[in-house]
Amino acid sequence: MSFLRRIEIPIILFAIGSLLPLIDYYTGNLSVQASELLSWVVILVTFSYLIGVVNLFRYHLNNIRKGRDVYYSVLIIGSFLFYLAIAYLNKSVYDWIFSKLYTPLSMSISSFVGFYTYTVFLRGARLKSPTAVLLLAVTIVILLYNTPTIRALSPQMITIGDWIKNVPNTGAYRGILIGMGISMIVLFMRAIIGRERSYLGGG
Amino acid sequence: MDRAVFIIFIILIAIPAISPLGLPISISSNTVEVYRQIEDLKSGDIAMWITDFSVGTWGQVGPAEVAVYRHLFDLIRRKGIKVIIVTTYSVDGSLNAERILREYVDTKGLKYGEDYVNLGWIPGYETTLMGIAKDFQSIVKTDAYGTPIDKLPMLRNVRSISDIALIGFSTSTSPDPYPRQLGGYGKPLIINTLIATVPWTLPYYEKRLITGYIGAESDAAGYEKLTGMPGEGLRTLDAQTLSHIYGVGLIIIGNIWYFTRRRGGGKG
Amino acid sequence: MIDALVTSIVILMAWSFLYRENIFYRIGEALLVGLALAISVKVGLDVLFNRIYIPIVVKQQWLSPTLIAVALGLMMYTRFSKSLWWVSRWPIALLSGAGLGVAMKGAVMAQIVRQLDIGSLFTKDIFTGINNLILLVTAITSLAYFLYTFEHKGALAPVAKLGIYSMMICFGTTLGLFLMSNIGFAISLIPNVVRPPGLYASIVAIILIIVDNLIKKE
Repeated sequence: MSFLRRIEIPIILFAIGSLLPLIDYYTGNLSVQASELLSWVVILVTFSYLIGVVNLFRYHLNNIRKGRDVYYSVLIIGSFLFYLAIAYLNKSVYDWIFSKLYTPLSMSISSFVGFYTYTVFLRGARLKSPTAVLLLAVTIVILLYNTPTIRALSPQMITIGDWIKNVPNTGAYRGILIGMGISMIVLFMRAIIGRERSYLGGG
Repeated sequence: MDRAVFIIFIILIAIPAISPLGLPISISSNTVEVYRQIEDLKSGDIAMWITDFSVGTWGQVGPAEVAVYRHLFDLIRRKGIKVIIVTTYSVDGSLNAERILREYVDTKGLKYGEDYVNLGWIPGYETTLMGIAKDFQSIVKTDAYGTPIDKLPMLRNVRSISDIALIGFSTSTSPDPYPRQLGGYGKPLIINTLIATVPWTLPYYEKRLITGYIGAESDAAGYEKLTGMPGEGLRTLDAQTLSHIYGVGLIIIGNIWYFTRRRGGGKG
Repeated sequence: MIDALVTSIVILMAWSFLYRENIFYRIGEALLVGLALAISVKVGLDVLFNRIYIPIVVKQQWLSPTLIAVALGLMMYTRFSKSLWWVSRWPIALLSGAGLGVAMKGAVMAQIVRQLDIGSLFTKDIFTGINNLILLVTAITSLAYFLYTFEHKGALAPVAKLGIYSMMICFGTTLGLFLMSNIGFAISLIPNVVRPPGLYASIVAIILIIVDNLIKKE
């Protein structure tokens, strides 16, 4: 049993999982095995997705047991059970709740960021240094460039905005992309030799 | 003060919602490019659209997604193309796709399984994308409703990305996995995303790993104009104009306030 | 009518947080979590049904390799056991490995090799040449800024400094577009609360806010 607990086993599994698609892509060998692995991933991701649900469910059951935020936890579990039952009993009600309740609720909560970005513009967007001046000047130009009416009335704004977007912005993002790509290779190498184990969690 | 900022914003976007101002708009070149690539599909071509955006971002990605779906389904009728719809990222995408099919697209007279299919959620994200490109039949087992793919005539001959004429995707997170797995095959690869994600996609676009992009309601509105099917994009354009000018105004007012206070010896 | 009213009420419940945290917002938040959980379970079970139950139980393909995936999937749930949690590391390792391997496969070409190709600096059109030069400089300098292996001293210092300016341009672009993205969500929702019947719900919400303010003042 102690052999099975050794950290080398998951590291070897990691290596198998990561090398199969690479061997398939670069050599054309092990293609069937790589395809099989990809279809396993679909099942594994689904199981892992449901772990998140189990975790959240346990958290709220625990809340109810300990008397912490009881009403909200009851509402969460109640709405979960109700909607899950509806999903199997009445598809049209399930679709209606998704369109008329869940979607607008989800969108409304996402929209908070927009409201708070405005307050950041008012309170935090200060021309304190040359870099801040550059950042805010570009922000203003890009906002105006993307304003439908200004685009229609001022073709010059389209020229300036296009240039910023396609030249210096693309160049800088390209540097970031290359950096990300190289980091991925480094991460891969570290994981293969067992130096990087954070994906295993819990030591 | 925050509340005042919020109230002014709500009033600004409410005005055109109550009474449209009819401000002029222009159609961006990137929208025209996407429209052309989809319009250029020929009879029998298979287009695959990957709906991966989350429900919370419907307001940004949804209108353009609806416009593209309508265009694709119009092409099924006009030119006899075939459409595959699939989700790889999160559950949300598959529900968005179903909602669009249910509420926004006219599927009357079209044959499911022959003209279009909805594969639903195939979890795995980037691994699923690779699977679709490499070995379609091994990664896709059934459609969203549990029908095995050998019972869906239009999928019988789809083996890999080489059998698909055009691929499009909508995302509200990182665009990286799509050009990484689906780019460089010489097929049009179109993205519909949040406008904030557009700069991130530009290095891929410049290298033609992504061949077209649409983001924001203004592009959705442009697309609706091009297809002649008005929708949510065109309805929100006036509000966008006012809200952007408001954002610029806040930056300017904030700085005037800051410098005035600093000159007066305040903290700013 | 009912559809529009329900939609406007849930929007107002969520937006009430902009006034202050209150019971309506928290109810909306709890509902959202509950519904999202149900959706995840429903769709997740559908996937498992289509990929496991149909081939293995209905089609009786008992010796399918899918069974190994199912076993690995079930192993993930050992993380809830204090004595067997280590078993869950196996499927997680395989999953992480596959994810990184697949990403690596695409990244080398799309994110590195293709991005290193920058157009010629000597073109017939002088502006294209200049733009290509700017592309090159901004790409190299922003990459140099992230070179933490070396201290930003000597020749690297001005390059990294220029990198900051390059990135300010790209962050400025992103900031402008970030605002656009986020306000887009609110813009698409507003018609629901300013037109009847949502307007009536909005009037009730405004009255509640006024009453709350008056009570607080007293």
